[in-house]
Amino acid sequence: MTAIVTNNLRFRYAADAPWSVDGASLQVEPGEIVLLEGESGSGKSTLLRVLAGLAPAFHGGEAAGEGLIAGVDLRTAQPAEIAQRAGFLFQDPETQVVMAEPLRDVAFSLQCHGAPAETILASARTALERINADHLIGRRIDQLSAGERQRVALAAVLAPEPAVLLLDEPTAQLDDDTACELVGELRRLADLGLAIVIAEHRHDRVGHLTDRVIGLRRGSLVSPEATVPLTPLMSAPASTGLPLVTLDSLTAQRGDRIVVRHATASLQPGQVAALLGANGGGKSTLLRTLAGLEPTPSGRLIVDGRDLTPAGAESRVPLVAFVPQDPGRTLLCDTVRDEVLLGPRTLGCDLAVAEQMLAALDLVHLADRNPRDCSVGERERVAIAAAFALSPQLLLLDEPTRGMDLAHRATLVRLVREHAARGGCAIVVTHDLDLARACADCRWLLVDGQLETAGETP
Amino acid sequence: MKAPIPPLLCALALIVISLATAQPLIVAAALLGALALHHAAPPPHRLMLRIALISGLFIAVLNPFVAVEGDHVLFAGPSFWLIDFEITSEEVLYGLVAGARLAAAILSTSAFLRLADPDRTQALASRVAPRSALTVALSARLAPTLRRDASGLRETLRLRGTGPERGRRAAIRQGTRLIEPLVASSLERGIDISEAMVARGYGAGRLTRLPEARLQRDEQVALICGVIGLVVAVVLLAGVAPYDIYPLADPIATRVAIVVAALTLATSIVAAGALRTRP
Repeated sequence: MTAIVTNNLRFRYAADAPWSVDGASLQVEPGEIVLLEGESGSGKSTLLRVLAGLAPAFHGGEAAGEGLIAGVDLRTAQPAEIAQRAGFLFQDPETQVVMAEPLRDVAFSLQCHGAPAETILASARTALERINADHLIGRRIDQLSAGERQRVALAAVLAPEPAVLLLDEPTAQLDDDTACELVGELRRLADLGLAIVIAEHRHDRVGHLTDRVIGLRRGSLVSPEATVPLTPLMSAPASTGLPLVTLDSLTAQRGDRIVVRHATASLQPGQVAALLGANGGGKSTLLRTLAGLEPTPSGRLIVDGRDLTPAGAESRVPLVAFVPQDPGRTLLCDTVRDEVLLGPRTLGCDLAVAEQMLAALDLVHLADRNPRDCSVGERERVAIAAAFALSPQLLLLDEPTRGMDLAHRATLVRLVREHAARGGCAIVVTHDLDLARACADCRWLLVDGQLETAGETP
Repeated sequence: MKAPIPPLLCALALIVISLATAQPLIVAAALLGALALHHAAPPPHRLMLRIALISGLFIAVLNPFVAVEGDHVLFAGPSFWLIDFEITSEEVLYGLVAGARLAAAILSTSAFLRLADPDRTQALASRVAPRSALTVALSARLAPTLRRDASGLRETLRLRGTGPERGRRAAIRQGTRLIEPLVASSLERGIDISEAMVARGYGAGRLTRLPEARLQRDEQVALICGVIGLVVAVVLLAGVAPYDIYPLADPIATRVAIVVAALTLATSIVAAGALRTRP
């Protein structure tokens, strides 16, 4: 039996809204991995939600066309009925967990499906074993890493043994290594007969293990576009005068623990550094310290000749701008335009730059929309635009391409290089080596709390 | 993490014992027992200890100044409005007993919450009120996430150039500014979780109830201690070892009181040893 068959499937969130899924005709066989590829806001997540019966049943809206998922008719079935045949893995593992311990959380899925009580814990254990996550049993979920939580969430989805697996950007919150492991697991599951549909704009992460790629543009299924790899952009050689940014024996701490000791480095005007290192090694903490969000136990940060060490984050802007991880969750304003203009308005900066950033990051058509109505990738771009809008001398970006599609990743590289060409500096924390190669002039490596700055661009 | 029943019984016994009598020895034993249970539970130790001590001391210090009872005058001072500066030894003793009761209740409750497996506690509570139990469990789980969101919003404000305001009014104005995004953020989290639960099949029908796992040996020991503690509490409620503080405090070190206090302390220490969580 074909796992998924849809014919001219359509969906929109309101009667007067454009179709978010527009005439999708799709067929997926058991054992097949299909990658849905498209820009942020192209309708990938919505299509998955329609296939899972969550739209319109949970989200409201209007649906048309026909579809069968593992033999269940999408027009008549309730989401809970579909859930027995089709598991859905969301992007953010934080919001998928109900219980406090992995085995119990996986068991919850089986409890929901009415599995016999005496088999539940054994089945939950088997589901965790299937994806090599049984070593997590007994630990508290809130103490697991994002990758481990995503594994628990995957086990919870797999426990009722669905015929179809729908995954909405499952690697967006994960670093490259963890994402690679997860995708490897998915291939193994598909080889066992599971039909898998993945919405993902990081084609580079999952493309090699998929059987078919389907493009999505404004809700319509199209042929996928050829992936254009990021290429390093040529920039003028950095000047050899006084450095613009100096880290002078800087120490960074997280809570009571010193995580970076005596970091000493400098950047000439126009230089971009890629800050690399293992997970949990202190990269984000160092960036937060440079942004003024964490206290500096010792050492100094000098930007443009000014010692910023005693200044808090609010006093470092607009000289220093920082985009933290997952910034889309902490947006403040009611419209995208207000969000991007908030900093420049508060600080009396040139508003024209903010408008340019809206255009550069493809946000003009969303300018009057509430950021919370935007997709995850769009929100990330809003936060990045808000940082660029401050025209900073030092730009700090913490994993800026998580959840970002390839086209906008290229745009980000261009913007960073343009910022450098204007004489600014940037430090980019990333696991994305392509991004590091494309936008950075030098590599800073954080190993065991020590910053090594001698590296060439990776 | 332990099965919820043994720590629940132990904590409940200590609370009831401390409330069932004003006998200082027994209340002190209940407080020490609660401390033992508190140290057996996972952290945070210092925070809860501080809360219990401050609350208990507040009551102990306050009582002599608001009560107007007791025959042994320690200090004769004036009275005005609700404050009475005539302090008696009975008022001091009553204050200490009341403070110890409050501290014992706080420490026992927090120890139970930290010792009991939240999932098994939720499963236990869901026998009575399934939806409410799940809602409470989810709320408790989401609290740290929302705290993180709130801190992220404050940081975003700083990164847009608005620092912490000086002055009460300005601080309130700034706090108010964060309410809307914070509410929006928590609603969004709530919707995301509901959607994920629907996608997992929640709401399809009755949840299967998981069979309760058998108690381990240490849990059985704690359960026995809890039952003994509850028996002691019932005995005290029945009027054994009566004790009056006002107008004149009864003698403290009676034989019955010593026996009950020793039993209370011994069962609590044994229970704490059995429930102790090892890192």
